[in-house]
Amino acid sequence: MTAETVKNNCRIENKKGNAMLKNIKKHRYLLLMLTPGLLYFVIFRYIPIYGVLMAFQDYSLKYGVLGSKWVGLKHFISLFSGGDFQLVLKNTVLISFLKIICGFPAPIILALLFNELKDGYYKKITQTISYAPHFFSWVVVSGMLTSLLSPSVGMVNKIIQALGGQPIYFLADKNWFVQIIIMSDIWKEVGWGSIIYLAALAGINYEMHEAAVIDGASRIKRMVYINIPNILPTIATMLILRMGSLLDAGFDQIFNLESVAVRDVSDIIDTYVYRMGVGSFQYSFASAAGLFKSVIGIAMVLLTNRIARRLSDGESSIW
Amino acid sequence: MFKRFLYIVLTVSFASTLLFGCGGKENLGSPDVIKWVGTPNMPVESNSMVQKFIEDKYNVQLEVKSITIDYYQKLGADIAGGDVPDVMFINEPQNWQPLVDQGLLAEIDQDFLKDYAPRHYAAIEQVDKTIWAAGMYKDALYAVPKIMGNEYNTVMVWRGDWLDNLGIKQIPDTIDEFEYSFRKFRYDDPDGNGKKDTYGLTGMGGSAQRQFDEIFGAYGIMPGQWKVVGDKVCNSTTMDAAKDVIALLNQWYKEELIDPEMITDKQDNVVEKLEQGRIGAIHTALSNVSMNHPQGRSKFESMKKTNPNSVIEQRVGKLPAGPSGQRGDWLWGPRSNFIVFGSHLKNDAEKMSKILEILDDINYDEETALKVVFGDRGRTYDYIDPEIGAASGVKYLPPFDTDKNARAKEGIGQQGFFNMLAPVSDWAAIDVANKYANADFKKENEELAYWGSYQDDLMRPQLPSSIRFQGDLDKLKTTAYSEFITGVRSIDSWDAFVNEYMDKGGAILEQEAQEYYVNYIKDIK
Repeated sequence: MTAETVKNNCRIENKKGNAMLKNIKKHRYLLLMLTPGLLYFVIFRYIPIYGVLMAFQDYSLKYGVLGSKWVGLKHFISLFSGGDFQLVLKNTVLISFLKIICGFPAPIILALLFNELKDGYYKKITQTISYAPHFFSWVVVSGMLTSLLSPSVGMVNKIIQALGGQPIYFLADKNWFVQIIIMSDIWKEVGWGSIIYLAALAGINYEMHEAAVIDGASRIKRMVYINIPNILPTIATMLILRMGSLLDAGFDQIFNLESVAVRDVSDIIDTYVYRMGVGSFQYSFASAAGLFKSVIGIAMVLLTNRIARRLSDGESSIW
Repeated sequence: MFKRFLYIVLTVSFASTLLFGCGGKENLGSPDVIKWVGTPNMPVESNSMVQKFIEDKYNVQLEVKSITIDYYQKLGADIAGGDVPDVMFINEPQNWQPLVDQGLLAEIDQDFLKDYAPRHYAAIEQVDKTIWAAGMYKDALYAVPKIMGNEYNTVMVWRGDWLDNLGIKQIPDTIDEFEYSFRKFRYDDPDGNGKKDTYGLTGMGGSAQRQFDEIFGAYGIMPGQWKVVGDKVCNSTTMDAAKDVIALLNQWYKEELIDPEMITDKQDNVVEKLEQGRIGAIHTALSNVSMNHPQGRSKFESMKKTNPNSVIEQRVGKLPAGPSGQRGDWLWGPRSNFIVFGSHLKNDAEKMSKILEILDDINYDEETALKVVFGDRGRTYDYIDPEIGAASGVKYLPPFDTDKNARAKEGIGQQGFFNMLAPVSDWAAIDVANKYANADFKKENEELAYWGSYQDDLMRPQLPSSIRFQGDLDKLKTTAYSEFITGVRSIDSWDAFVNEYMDKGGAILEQEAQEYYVNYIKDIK
C-alpha cells in the first residue's frame, strides 16, 4: 500500500498537468456513484443551514427568512427560562451519556461474536433476528414493553414472582425507568449497529489470522490482538459521530414510554420543546432548540475528535 | 482527502436539523380557480366526480389539495412557497392564530357570513352563540367555527358475569353503589379463580382530560376546564371541589379498589383490561358498545372472532350519580374545528362569497350533501335496509365501503374533505344526518348517555400565554393528581399544589381567561 502511494506521488510530480484528470478518469464510475450522495447533502443539509436564521427571528411564512422581523435571542431566552429547563437538561445529558456508555460497546461486542460464527444458516438467522427490532417503531415497542413489564400480567414479573420476589412496576418506578430506557434502546439498535463493525471486520486481511493461527494464537488472543486493533479507527469514527447527537436522548422512545410517575427522570429537551410548542408554525422556537442542540453536538464532536487524535497519534481521529 | 471531506460533510450535517423555508412572492393564480385544502386524512384525487359536480353546479374551477399526513408541515411549506390556499381546514385556535399574526388570513365579516352562509350562521346562533367567540382573535372574526353536532356523554360498561356472580341484581347507579360494587370486585373474587387479582376500575393517569373524569363529573367539577362562577372565571383544576373528589379517589386507592396500573393505562388497554377480567367496569362512548350502532356491532363481531370463548357480556349502565344527582364526563363542547380563508380574499369578496355559498349548501342541503359525501345511490351507496329506506341509514356499496382509493377517485367520504362544515360526529348538518340515523340508537343515547353538562364554559380558548404555560401546567396537573390519588403526596399539601400551579402560570392564564370572558363572551350570553 505505502509503496504504491509513494510511486503515485512521484508520478504526480512528474506529470502534474493531467494526473488529476487521469485520476478522475480512472475513478469516474466511483465518482459518479458518489455524486447523488453529495448532491443530497448539499441540497438537503447544506443549503437549508441558512434556516438557522429563523432562530433569531419571529419567522413569518409570508415574509420568509429575508423579510421576517429580527428578535435577537428572544427564543433562546424563552427556551432557557422555562421553569423545568435545568431538570430537563440534566435528564437529557444523563440518559444520553448512559446510552453511549452502555449502548455504544454493545454492537461492537455483538459484531465480534458474530464474526466468530461460521457462515451458514445459524449465523444468518441470528443476525437477521438481531436487527429486526430496528425496524419496529417505538409505538409498537412501547406497547410490547408495557405488557411485558406490567406488574400484574407481565412475563417479567411472573418470573420474578415465581422466583419468590415481589412484582416491580418498572415503567412507573423512577429507579427503574432510566434503566428500562437504556436496555430497551440497546435491544432495539444493537443488531443494526453491529453491521458497520461486521463490515470493518470483514475487511481485515485474512493473512494476519493465518499467521496468528500458525503461531498458535487462540481465538480470544486473535480477537484482542487482531480484530479489535483493526476496527479501532471505525470505532473511533462512530464514537465521534455519536457524540454529535448527545442532546438527542430519543424523543420517540421516551414520549411513548413515559408516564406521570416518572416525569422527574424522563422529561428531556425534546419532550419539553414538544410541550412548549403546542401551537403550529412555531418555526422560530423549534429552530432555536435545534440550534442549541446542534451547537452542543458540534462542540462534543470537536472535543471527542481532539481526544481521539491525542490518544491515537492522529490515526483514529476524523481530522 | 476525499474520505476526510466526506466525514466533514457528515459531521456538519448534524448541525442542520432545520426547516427548509423561503419567502417567495405570493402566487394568486387565476382569479376564478378556488384553491381548496380540505379536511386532512381523507385522500381525494384531482378531477374526481364530486369536484366536477361542484364545478358544474356552482360554475367554478377547483384546485383541490388533499393532505393526508403531516398536515401543518405541508401547509406551512406551501404557504412559505407563496402558495396560500383560498380556503383551508384548521384544527384549533393555536393552529390558526399564528397565521393571523403573520398576516396570512382574511378577516371575515359576520354580516357577510350571514348573507352567504345563512344556514350555518343560523345554526351557530341556535346551538350556542358562544361559539362565535372561538373564531375571534384580536377583536375580529378570522375563522368560521364548525359545530360539534351530537356529542353525548359516555356510558359505564360492566362485566355482566361479575355482577351476576356477586349477586348484584341492579346495575350500579349512584356513587355509593359504585363503591360497593368495586369493593366486592376486589375482595369477593368475582371471577371465581380463587385469586385476589381483580380491581374495580382504573384511570387514564397521564391524560389531562380523562383522568377519572366520570367520577369528577358526579361531583359537579371537571378539572382542566374553565368554569364561570357568577362573573368570575375559575380553573376547575385548582378548585376545592376537585380536592374532595381526589380525597375520595385516594381512599379508593388505599382500599385497592383502583388498579395501581392506572399510572400507565391508556384508552386502548383499558378496554383490554375489562375483557381480560382485571377490572370490572370502564366508561366509554355508547357507540362503541351499542348493537344499534355500526361501530358497536363491528367491535362485538371482531371480539367474537378473535376470542370466541371469552366473549363477555357487556352490561351497559349510566355514569355514576353524585350526592346531588349530577352525572357526566369530559365533553368537548359545541364548538369544533375551523375553516379559514387566505388573506388575499380580503379583496375578493366575490370569491369568498362563492366559497361560503358552496360550503353552506354542501352541508345543509340534503341532496347536495348526499351527493358529495356518498355519491350516487345504487352506484356508490345505498340504504342499509331498502325496505325502511333512509331511516335505516346509508352505507357505501363495494368497493367503496372498504377501498379508500376507490372513494378518493370519486371524491366521496365521510371525513369532510369537501363538506368542511360537517359536524365532527356526523356526515352533514344535524337536521340532515338525523334523517338517516338509527332511531333506536338515538333513543338509547338519550336514555343512557345524555347529560349535556361538562363542557368548557369558555369553549377551550387559546389565551395569549397558553403556548408558554399550558404544556407545563398539564404536566403538573396530571403528575400531582396521580400523586395525590396514589398517596405519594399527601392531600394535606393541596394548597402547596395550588400555589405551585398558580406560580407556574396558572394565575396569569386565569387573569387572561377573565379578560377573554369579559371581551368576547359575557355580552353574548
